[in-house]
Amino acid sequence: MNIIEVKNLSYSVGGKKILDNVNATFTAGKITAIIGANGCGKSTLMSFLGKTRRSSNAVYFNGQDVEKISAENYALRVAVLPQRSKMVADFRVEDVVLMGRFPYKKKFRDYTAEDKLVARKAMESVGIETMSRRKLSQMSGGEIQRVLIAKTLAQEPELILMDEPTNHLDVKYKVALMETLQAYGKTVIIVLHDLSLAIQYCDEVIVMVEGRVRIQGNVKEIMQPDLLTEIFGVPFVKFEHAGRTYINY
Amino acid sequence: MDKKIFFRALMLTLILVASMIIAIGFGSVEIETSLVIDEVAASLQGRQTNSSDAMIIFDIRLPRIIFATISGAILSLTGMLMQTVSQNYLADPYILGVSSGAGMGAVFCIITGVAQIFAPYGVYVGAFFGATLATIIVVRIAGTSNNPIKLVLIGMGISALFSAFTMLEIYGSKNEAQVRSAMFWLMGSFTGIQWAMIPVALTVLIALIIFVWLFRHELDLILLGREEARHLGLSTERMQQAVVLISSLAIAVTVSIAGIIGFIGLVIPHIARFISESRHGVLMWFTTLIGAFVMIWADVMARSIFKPEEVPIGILTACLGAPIFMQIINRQYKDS
Repeated sequence: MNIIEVKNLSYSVGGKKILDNVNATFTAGKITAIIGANGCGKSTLMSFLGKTRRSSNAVYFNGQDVEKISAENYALRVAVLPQRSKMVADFRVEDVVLMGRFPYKKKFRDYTAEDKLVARKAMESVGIETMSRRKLSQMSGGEIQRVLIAKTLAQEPELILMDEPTNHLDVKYKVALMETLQAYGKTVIIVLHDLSLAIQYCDEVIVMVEGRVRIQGNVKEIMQPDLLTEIFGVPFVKFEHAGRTYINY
Repeated sequence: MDKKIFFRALMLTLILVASMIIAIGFGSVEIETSLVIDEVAASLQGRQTNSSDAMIIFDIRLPRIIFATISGAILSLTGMLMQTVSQNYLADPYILGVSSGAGMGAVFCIITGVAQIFAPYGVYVGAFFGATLATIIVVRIAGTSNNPIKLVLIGMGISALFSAFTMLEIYGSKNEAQVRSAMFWLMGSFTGIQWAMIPVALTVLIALIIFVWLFRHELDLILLGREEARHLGLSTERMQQAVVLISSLAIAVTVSIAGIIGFIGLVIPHIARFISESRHGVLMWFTTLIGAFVMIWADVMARSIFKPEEVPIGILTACLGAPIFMQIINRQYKDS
């Protein structure tokens, strides 16, 4: 069953086609990676899925045009981790993670004890519970990224959209994040540049080329060296080690 | 609020109350603090001393200090709100031209005589429309830009434009009394504050505090970034409109009564963030208390530096605030 579907989505800026008649389906409960070279439209597609950009009869969530779903309702079902955070305040870690519970909060009321419990669990799942009282100004880029991931998890959505979430993370936390997403068990759409992570932890993949979906399907079937070489312009090798599949260039 | 922060807030409150009492003694006629306390105690017990000191304390100094406390809190809270919705810690009603807009509206009402028609609220109405107009222009031109300097420069442009209109209004007036009255708005002053002005200002301060308290979580969310706030279901546009409305109202009232007082709204939220935290539920109380405290002592300086003459408070806050403003820019952009 598809949780979200894109139908004939096109988008241009200054006459240049950024997305060209994109059609894609995302299966509920699966982790889908979106891969492709820089500037192929991955982040733009994510912005339509997250309702950052407005569409018209092109993006459907559980069969309903996303433009007909209010922002408040969408936030209860879909969480978005953008590529870059534009946070200006020096909040404490626990305050930021708790903000993930905002869609559940009653108007003019405080966050509940349950909200605080969910936020604590989200911090534990990304290993930042011991830093909960620290201010963001005292943290590294990778640690801040984990805080934002915890905020996304605290939102408890049906669908998580993540645009290059592993960018600032070291290997340990890249693997930890992907394992957390697998354990979360809900639908995840994730833009990844690390192809080994995609093949090891994702169920499905969408390969984009110049604003179009080149191919979509099972990650292990589709991510073959020939296709990746065609897309990225460098030779790839695929190998198995200790029961795991790796892609390297 | 954790214990350490609560203790700091409590200390600030006590210092503020003490400052209000001590400040009464300063001015062209010095009154000892012990005498101030005696007079206040006598008044609270319903005894009237009818001394000249009592007259100075209750008819001149006390309304003035209470208004300084209220206006300091209003300007600081408004600055905090503007910094939040613009996601720009260089924003403040003076720098963004909102105060100049209010000044222009107020002067227009005085010069044209509109203030007489809608008396006693004519000046307030003019200031409100001027402040709202300036805010809307700044927000429209700045759009969704995240460049702090762009917003400041647009604000400076708006401020220059409204100041020019104000000058034109004054230049075109033939009535000397109106000109003198209008000039008052350009410099900011607490001279002539009366008890009758306190209820309006206090109502606005209470409304402002209630607004910030009710929307404290929404304001926190905006500081995550507009996009992220929207992804969490917040209508940032609606929030921005509400802030524009209440800020314009607050600035209109302070400008109508005391003229243009700059830099308080810029500097105080920075100090408040430094000694408390970024969450609005906590930050708002520190901003209110520190703003009130600073304005009381700025007014004491204004009354005391060249006594028996007074320095307009707007000139004094500009002298104190402008170097801090430049320091903030210098620190924020030292790497670029």
